[in-house]
Amino acid sequence: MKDALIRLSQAAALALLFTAAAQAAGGHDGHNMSSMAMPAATAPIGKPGDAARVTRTINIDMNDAMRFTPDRIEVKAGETVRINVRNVGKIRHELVLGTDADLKAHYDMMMKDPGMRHEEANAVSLDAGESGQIVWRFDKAGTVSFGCLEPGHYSAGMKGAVSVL
Amino acid sequence: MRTLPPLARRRFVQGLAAGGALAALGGWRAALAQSHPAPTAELRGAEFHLEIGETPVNFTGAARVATTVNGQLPAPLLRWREGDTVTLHVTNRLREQTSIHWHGILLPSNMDGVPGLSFDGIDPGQTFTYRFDVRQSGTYWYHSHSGFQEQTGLYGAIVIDPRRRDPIASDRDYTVLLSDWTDEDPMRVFDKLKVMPDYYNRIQPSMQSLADNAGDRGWRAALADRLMWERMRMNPTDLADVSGATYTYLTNGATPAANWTGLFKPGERVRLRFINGSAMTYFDVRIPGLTMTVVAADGQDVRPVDVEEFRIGVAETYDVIVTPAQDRAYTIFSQAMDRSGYARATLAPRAGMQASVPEMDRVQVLGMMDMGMAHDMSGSQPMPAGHAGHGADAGQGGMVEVRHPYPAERGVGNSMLPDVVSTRLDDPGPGLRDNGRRVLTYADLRSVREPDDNRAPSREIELHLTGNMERYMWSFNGVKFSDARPIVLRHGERVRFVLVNDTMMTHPIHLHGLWSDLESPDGAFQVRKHTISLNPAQRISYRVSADTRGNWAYHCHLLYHMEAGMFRAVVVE
Repeated sequence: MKDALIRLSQAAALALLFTAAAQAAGGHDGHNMSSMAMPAATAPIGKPGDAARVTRTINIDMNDAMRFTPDRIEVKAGETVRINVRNVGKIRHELVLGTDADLKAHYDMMMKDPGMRHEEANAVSLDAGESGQIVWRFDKAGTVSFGCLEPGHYSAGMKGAVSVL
Repeated sequence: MRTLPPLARRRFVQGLAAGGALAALGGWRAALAQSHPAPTAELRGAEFHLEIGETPVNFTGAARVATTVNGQLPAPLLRWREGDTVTLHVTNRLREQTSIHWHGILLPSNMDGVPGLSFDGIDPGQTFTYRFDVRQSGTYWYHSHSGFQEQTGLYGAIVIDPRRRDPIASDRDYTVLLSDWTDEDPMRVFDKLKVMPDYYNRIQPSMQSLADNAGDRGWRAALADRLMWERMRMNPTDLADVSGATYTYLTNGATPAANWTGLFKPGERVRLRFINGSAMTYFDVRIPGLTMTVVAADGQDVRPVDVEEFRIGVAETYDVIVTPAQDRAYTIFSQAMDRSGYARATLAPRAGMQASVPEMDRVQVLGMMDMGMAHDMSGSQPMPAGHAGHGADAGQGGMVEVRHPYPAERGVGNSMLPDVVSTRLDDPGPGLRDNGRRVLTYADLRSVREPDDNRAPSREIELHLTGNMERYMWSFNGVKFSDARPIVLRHGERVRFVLVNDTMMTHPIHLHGLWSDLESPDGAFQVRKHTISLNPAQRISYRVSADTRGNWAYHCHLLYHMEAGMFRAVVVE
């Protein structure tokens, strides 16, 4: 499990490097970087929010039918939101914010190496009956996805989306 | 019929409060002084030394000798970790050959422990070392695959902790291993069954019941009914061949009177890992006052489902979560499917507390559906909800006419042929239909994870479960093991097995080494199991990935049926 965490953080570090490189290159002369595959993790989903700036609280339940309730929420661009997450099931679930591609990639990694655990600011992993929260600032209009990356759950449809207006 | 005086009979059914394996205290004299059964040890780690021997036991007031591991019955709980390589040195201290099979465990064929098929067996005085990588997690068990040693005590639990955090968090974690003990020599039991297959059936229709039946429906109908059963060489109370007439049912090696007890604090989440390590007995399990959330079947996580009762076939495992809220005792009540007796244990906040033990349910006789007849002529057996009359519920597999492609199925090897069979995964089975409780069925079981190899099968192998109860012959397709060729699979192929139960008994069918991926009635993957139970006149299909080469046993897990020939070799080339 330790190995997996290290590998995961290496992947994240690599992704950050790519972002930096891409931005630097883009800023220089507008050279077309499209031939270089952009790691999914760099897509803009926002950033960890400041609890003092929370303007709204949203409650989401996770259940053993492999669903989030609600699974569609709307926020305004620039808004900092507290997402209260409650596991109402009997087995562990988690809520991870990301792009679809990012979630899919993480999920595939989880399936291969289920030792991973999500403790980053964009995720909350909860045992049965537990509650937790994510404070997140959604800065750009678009769609931010979320999913449960426990093996079997994501592919069973345990996913949802935040529409950032 | 043998009759026991009431007190002796009671002790025989209830068992001794002080029963169990007595070796630790050194022999018969010490046995009398024993006040509690020795708790079964839990062995953890990656290297194990298991010594198979004989140990004196006394479950009913009669001193007997059991086959044990390290002097214990059940054998020690083995706790492994997913990803480890385990090494198990098994030494035979018996006077006959022995073996251990790791039930439901993925491993190389030569580590599977079936004498004559996967290895040579372990001779007296010899040590065999099993070594394999643990590639799964969950609740499993192990047992002898030699003679009747499984009946005489050689069975134990395996719990494999997952490499990642277990998604099923709990405050307490207990294995609940159910089994059937007989004071008789199993060879004698088997011989008696061969001579007189209904020897242990104490619920046969009597002249009085015929008269009662006639009173309700007229003699003509009652006699026609009786004649029909006789023509089929079957009997409608034929739920189990070996019953509480000889068995004392055990929970973790404890008789109902000895009352194995698991402790909890009110409000805690308690995980109970039920394992049916019986030779012949299906159990219907409930804990009055508690809802059980089923979270795993045969070691595989399933989508949690709340039930009040479940039937556990021989060799199956179910993990459930209960959350006892009150400061009181709860009874874990496991009645034998034929209602000839029960196993009993207790969950309690403090040792010594107990709750009332429910009355056993009435016996429900088999009906037309169980016999594969299209109409319910006898009126004795209600159809499960959704299956009344024609058409049935297509969603769970309605009735289909059955083809009997093998001529060998007729004749002495098989005494009856159903006209219609159905998948009806939502049928809880004989004795549990419409009992007013929420009973688990296979329709409720859905694996959390899809199989890595989820290809559609490229071919189909249909096998019929066949038997002639009057002659105690049991087989696949009417051909017993000694006369049958192996089933050959090509390495890497994915095959659909279709099983049709032509008999009137319930059979747990176990394929070694390869998963059985049960299909829903519409042919989609539903749940991964290692043992698939079929009700009478039921048709079930499942997918098998032939991903490990070697010879694998494939058999009915009712011990005496397996011995009688309901067994095939599956060879993956």
